[in-house]
Amino acid sequence: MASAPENEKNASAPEKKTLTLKSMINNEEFVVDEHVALQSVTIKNMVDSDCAGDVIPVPTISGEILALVIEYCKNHANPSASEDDLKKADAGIVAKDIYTLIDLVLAANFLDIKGLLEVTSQKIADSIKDLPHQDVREIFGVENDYTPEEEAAVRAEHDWAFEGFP
Amino acid sequence: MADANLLPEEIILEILKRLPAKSLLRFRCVCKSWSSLITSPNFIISCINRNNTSQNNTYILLRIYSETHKKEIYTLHCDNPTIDLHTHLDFPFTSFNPYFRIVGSCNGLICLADTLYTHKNDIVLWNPSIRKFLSLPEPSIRYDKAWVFMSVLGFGFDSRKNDYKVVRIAGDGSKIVPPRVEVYELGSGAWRVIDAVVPPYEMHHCWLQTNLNGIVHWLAFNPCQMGGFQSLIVAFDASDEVFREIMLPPSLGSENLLNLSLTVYGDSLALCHYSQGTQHRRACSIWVMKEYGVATWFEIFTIDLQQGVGLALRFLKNGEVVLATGEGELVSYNPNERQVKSLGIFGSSHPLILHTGSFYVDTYVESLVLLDSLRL
Repeated sequence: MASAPENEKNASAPEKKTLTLKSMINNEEFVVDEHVALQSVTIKNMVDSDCAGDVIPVPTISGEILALVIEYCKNHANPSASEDDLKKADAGIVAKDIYTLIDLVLAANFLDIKGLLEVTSQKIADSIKDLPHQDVREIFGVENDYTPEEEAAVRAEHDWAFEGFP
Repeated sequence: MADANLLPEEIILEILKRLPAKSLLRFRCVCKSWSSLITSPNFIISCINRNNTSQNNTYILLRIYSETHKKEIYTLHCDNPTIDLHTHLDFPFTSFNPYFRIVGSCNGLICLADTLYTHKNDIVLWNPSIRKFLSLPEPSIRYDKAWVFMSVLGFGFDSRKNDYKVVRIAGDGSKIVPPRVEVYELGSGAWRVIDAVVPPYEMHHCWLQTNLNGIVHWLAFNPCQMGGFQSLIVAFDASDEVFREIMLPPSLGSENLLNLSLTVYGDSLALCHYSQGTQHRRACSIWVMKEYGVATWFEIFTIDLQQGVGLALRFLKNGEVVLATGEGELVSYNPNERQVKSLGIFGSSHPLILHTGSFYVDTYVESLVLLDSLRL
């Protein structure tokens, strides 16, 4: 019995703390409920160790990408969202071009948000799986360190996998 | 926009392990570091772990013997109620027998043997996802004299050493000299005779093994038992390299092995018991060992069809069973609705082949196994 009023009190006056995340690329600021932002392990560690001021600066992540990250965190902080709802919402968030997805996966990695990292990695994998390796090289900005002879030799090991590819 | 060249290796890894095997083979050409990542044993095992846990990456492997083409046909199907065709697998071997015996499959690697009615010991490990195979060297235990020698094969996975093992039990068939055991390890590429004591039971070389968590299971019987059968399961743990015995449900302990088969139900070992159903057709009861090693079996349902049940082959993800009917057709059976769905696939009517004999159905995940070991 003694705990009932306590519960009521919590329910009627929830402590709603907010955090401000600031993109250091274009100085855009986002005010977010703390429990939403804490899905980022990086932010959680900062808050836990009292390193977080009123405004948390987020380096290397643009406002556009940060908005996507926050949308993801909001969806997943909603306790009434069903698994199906979340799947649909996730699919919406990652329905982007490959370069946005790469920025997003970098952000998910930096902020340490496991679910977002997985869903974005999967989308990138789905988008590149049928591309020629030359395109993949370009998308990922990877320098080709093979000599033409070396590349041909690796290719010859699995010639059949290149059928229909340049 | 993205300065993607700065993608850390852990992200590259996250992305690559989600790609199909065929894409990965092509992406070896992206650069040298991608190639060494893709062919590294750690990467290969992390792809397998991912595919085994992810719901969408398991397939059904089907082998049938085609009467028209006089050859065996391997296909991958989606693990859905209609087992829709996914890919035709390119089969690169020819056999002495009408078709290979599939010893077992594990993590995308299939062990095939063509040792029946022949003194050759053709055993092959085949990874169809990357179209690579490895012919095993001649086994070391040999009995040159006899046609009657017995040789039982099993294919398992040593999860501790992360290695694939073929176990061979060979005897002269005399029952005077106990059979000996040797193990082929993919990692070392050689056969090695081991000291493991084979339980004194007979495992027929034709009977299929069932692989669960890397452990090989055979049905066996005690030949010394007078007046009826004493049947049981013999298991070989590929990690410990020891044999164990698993008792059948008490009511089936004296059943003829021709009326029994093994399969896997979810993560459990399952026993199929065939008996006469209504309309004098063969019916099949499914028993499940819910807790592995604790030989307490639960009968979960009975399949009693108008066409009869030839052989219960494999459970699908949704709980339906793929089985061969008494008429040799492949169907899926829904135990809740007791509905049969024809899959439009028929077995061989070859006189040397049982109706059901050429069917092989197993769950399958793509993998890159053999991609690294071939560079030895």
